Amino acid sequence: MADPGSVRPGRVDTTTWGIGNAGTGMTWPPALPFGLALERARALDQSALGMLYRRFMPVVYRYVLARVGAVQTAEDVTSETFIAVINGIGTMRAHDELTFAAWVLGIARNKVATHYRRLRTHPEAPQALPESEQPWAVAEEGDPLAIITARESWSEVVAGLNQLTEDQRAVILYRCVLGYSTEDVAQLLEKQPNAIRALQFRALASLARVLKIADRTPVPNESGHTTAQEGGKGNATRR
Amino acid sequence: MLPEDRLDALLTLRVETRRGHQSVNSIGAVAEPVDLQPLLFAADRVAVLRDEEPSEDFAARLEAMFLSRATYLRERDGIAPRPMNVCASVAPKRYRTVRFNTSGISQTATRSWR
Repeated sequence: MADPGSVRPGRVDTTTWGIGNAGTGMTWPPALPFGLALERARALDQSALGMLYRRFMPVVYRYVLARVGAVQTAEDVTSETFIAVINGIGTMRAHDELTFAAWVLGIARNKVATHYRRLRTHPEAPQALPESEQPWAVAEEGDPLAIITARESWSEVVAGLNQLTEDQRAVILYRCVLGYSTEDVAQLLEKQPNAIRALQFRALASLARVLKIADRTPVPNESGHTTAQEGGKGNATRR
Repeated sequence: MLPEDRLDALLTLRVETRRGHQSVNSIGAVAEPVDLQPLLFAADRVAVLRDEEPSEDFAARLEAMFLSRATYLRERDGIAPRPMNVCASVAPKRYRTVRFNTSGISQTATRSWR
């Protein structure tokens, strides 16, 4: 890990739950090191399990929501993930926060894959997301224009993410949604940091092309005037 | 610097800025290369979910289910509730070991932890 002293949203340091979990307002008890919490959680200690749950549930939820794009489905898949977590925690081999995160996110990834397999094997299940299940539908207040924009935007992003490879998706979600550092993502995915940077570049280039972002991006030409850049200029993506 | 390294540095800067580790001035000091802008826009589109929180109702329901499942497993497996500070006083004071001598006949010995 690059900088053990820094506070990273995807992780717990000894004093905070992580800024990325704004809203929980919880603090990791300084007197209880993460390794000890894991040891107690393996023995099904309620207090340790509660701490791990409150720390990681929002992380898993965000990951799943980004993958499935619907609140109700994200809640179902997150629930399935945590039931699998409690069933397997006794034999889990994680020894620190990052290896525990890798284990939990691996379970979430499998549950999302199962969800998509179910959708494929039951084609009668609705593929389009009901209005009430869209992430923006939970926003009870806010700028109507922003909500409309988000509505158009989010299903497009989920569809775009679904066109990436599993590794590309994981890198983008771990970096951009969960806020892990490149070095942490490298450990989570058991790759080298340089490989993660290259994967991230290709993934975002691919996503930009799928979302047609490049077409809308004004870039200055040689004469100083702005023109629309052709899709993904020079960013050929290998999938 | 390779484009993927520049992109990574810019993404890191954005994350740190969001966390308040960097001042806005320091962002301005780093020009975002034009060729990377579409990629940064794509990252911004995905990053919208960074602030999504599960509903309190769902979080509470799932926590109750999670902990009650733990209780069930503990009872099923006969695991006694563990005190918060486990120390030598709760460990058995004596244990048995099985050793094998060269003839393959096991010998059992009882030893003390202390």
